[in-house]
Amino acid sequence: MTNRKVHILTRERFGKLLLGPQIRLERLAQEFTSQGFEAFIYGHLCGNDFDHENRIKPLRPGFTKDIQPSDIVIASELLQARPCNELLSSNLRFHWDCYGLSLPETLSFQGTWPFLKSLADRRRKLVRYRTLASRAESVWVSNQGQGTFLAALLATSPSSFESNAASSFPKKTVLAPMGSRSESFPIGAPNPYPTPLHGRPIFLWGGGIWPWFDLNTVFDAMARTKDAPEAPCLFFISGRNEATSDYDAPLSEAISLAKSMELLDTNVFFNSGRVSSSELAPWLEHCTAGIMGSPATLESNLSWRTRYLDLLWAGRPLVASGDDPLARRMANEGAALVVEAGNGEGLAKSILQYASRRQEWLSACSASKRVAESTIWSKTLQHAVQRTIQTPPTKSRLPGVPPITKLRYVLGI
Amino acid sequence: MSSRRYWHFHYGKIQTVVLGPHLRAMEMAITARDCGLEATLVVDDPTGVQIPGVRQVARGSLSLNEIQPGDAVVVSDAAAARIPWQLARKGLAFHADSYGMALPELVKIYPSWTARHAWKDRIRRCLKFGFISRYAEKIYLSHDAQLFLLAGTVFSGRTTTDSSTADSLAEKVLYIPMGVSSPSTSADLPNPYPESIRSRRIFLWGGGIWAWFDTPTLIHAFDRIRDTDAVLFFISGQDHSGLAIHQKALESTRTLAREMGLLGNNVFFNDRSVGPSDLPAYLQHAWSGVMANPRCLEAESSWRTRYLDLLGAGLPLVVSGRDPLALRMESGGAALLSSAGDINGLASNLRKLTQDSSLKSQMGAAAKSIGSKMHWNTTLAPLRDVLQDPNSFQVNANRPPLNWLLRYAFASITPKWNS
Repeated sequence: MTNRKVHILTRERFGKLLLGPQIRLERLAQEFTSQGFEAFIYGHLCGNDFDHENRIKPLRPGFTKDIQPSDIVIASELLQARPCNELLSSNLRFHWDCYGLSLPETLSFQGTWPFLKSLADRRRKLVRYRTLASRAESVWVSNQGQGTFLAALLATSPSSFESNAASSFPKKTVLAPMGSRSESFPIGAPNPYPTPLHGRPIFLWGGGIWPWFDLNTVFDAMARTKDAPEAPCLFFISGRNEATSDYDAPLSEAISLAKSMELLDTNVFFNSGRVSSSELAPWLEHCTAGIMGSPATLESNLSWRTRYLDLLWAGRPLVASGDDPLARRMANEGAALVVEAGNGEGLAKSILQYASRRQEWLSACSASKRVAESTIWSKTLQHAVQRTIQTPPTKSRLPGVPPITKLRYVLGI
Repeated sequence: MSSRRYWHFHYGKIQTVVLGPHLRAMEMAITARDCGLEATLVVDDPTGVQIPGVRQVARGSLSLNEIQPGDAVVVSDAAAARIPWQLARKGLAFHADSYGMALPELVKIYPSWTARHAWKDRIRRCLKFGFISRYAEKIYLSHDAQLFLLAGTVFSGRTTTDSSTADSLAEKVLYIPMGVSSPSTSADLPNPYPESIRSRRIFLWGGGIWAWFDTPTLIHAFDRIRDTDAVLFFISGQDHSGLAIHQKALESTRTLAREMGLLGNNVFFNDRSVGPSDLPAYLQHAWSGVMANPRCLEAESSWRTRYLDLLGAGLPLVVSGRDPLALRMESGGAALLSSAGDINGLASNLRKLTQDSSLKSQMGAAAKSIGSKMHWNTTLAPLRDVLQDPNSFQVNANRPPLNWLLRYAFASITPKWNS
């Protein structure tokens, strides 16, 4: 056991229901622990028995006092302003885990959020991204595009320090996308889908319905396959989203759209309840493939769709309209059929291809398993963890954050 | 002849020494001409090299009233910023040819400018890219890394519209990289290299030495393969940019080679100026091309046109540090790629290629094969499609405000926050 400790700073809340970001932090802590480090996660506790190993600490003011200059500090993407400010003022060296890059998603909320909320959120993210990207020792991203996007934000910064950091920014970036589970996929559980769907090819929408997806194309494809003898159906696993209007609106719209196209409960089905990650396996086992509709947007191009990782774990392929980095990778390896954004006819053909040609489907399932082997957590986090361990502690001072930048952040301008 | 006409807003004067941007503008105009459109290149000085069937007019003498709705209008990146603004104000649809994306080169050289000059340039680039992203009907880029670069630049803009524009950029973009020119037909050209190295295996650095390259790694790698027959030849031994930062890079490369005792033995700098017509001979008698990229934004968003010469000539490439075209050549078997700054890796690849003639032939054939799929005719196919699409170049109903031009004009007096 080394005497260097690892401190992972996040704004996440830890409870019984583990979502992607918490799972990532858990895996990250495990990776460091397996390398002989004592790892702590600083976040928000939910007051349950989740933290049975006492590794989660509350992120309270003064948290940097517990951290030694030689320790490893990892700041997660959306660490709030207060701890960020304390971290930057402490002059501790840190690595920035920016794998989610939620900024492009925010763009898609334009029009659903009030104007000022939208503007302030965007400007704050811009200030935060530039500040952290220019001062971090390394920046962890999910794909190359995210790194280039961040570099462009730096290149156009009004600060010379940040702008000058843009040129060599690729040296700092480390690919560390979300990974798939390494434990073997449990098979043989009873079919959880509604009984009328048993025996039909099920195309699983394996996560929430967010405003930035392209459901029109997916429904267009389902309408085109409505009378096919294979009778493929689309199943939305997430019956409800977050309990906020801007997150629930897309689900209501999807139900209305399915109804207006006379697809609801014949070819398109919505789950009545919510499925937690521990309940996911049978839904994956009994589906034919995953399905996705991505528009030609920046969000799609910079995304890393974690719902595909579940498909990889289960050895199930994907049909998709619209390009995104993980879908492209799966398609290159024979684990997905991807057509261009908005091509409902092409997506319908892909659906029928997996629904009707068993050999092709089996081959795609095998390819999906192969991709899974290269995307398990220990492999996706390997470079970031090694780079972090190998970065020697330095004592040189980081440039401070100017008061005008702090003011801009507070005002959201 | 189509009723649609083609207008290409370019800059400068089409010279005998055809530089990349001019070559591109010419090839695009020729494509339009071959599609049956009356093609016009709008330049600062129309008295340069004339292209059959392509008219050249001076920007100052052209009235935008001559352009009709539905005409195909392309604006080069280097054209004045007011041109796209004027086109949009008149409701004329235009396409922006932004294949070069100079920002990554500039962030490397900004530190050599005054803070105010660099700041003004950054502001203007943000404004310009924000403008074309919103008002251009299509934007031509070289590859997808440039999309993310453009999106980040646009996102940094000041208005809410800039950010929604950034999200939809992917729909607007067409990928039209620089293409491979038809190779010279001359079978046997005289060897242009210094006599002392003619029988050796020449690794050709086929362009200028710019400040963002990693020549020290290359020089050190050649030091490690002194025992071989390999020789490094910089085709451009003099600086033609006129910029101190590039002159410094050239001089420090020469100094390093001298200090290591390689200059005139294993490393040579051409003392002659090489025009495009001289290039085929240098390529014909070279063993391979060579390049050294640092891990930097410039390399990752570049499209190294000097490799296109190698592809046209069927020559392999040895390169340290990735860039998009090098990656494509490597995956096609035409390049040996090592990590940025990895002297041993680069030296090992140079040695391998120096000593293996069959590998050279095999990689050369792969280069030829890749090159055959990247001729201008192929890379300009998306342009041909839009020129022939009756739905393209529709009236631009979105008129820009006057204050955009004012913001651009007065960028130099915008307060600097903390530069």
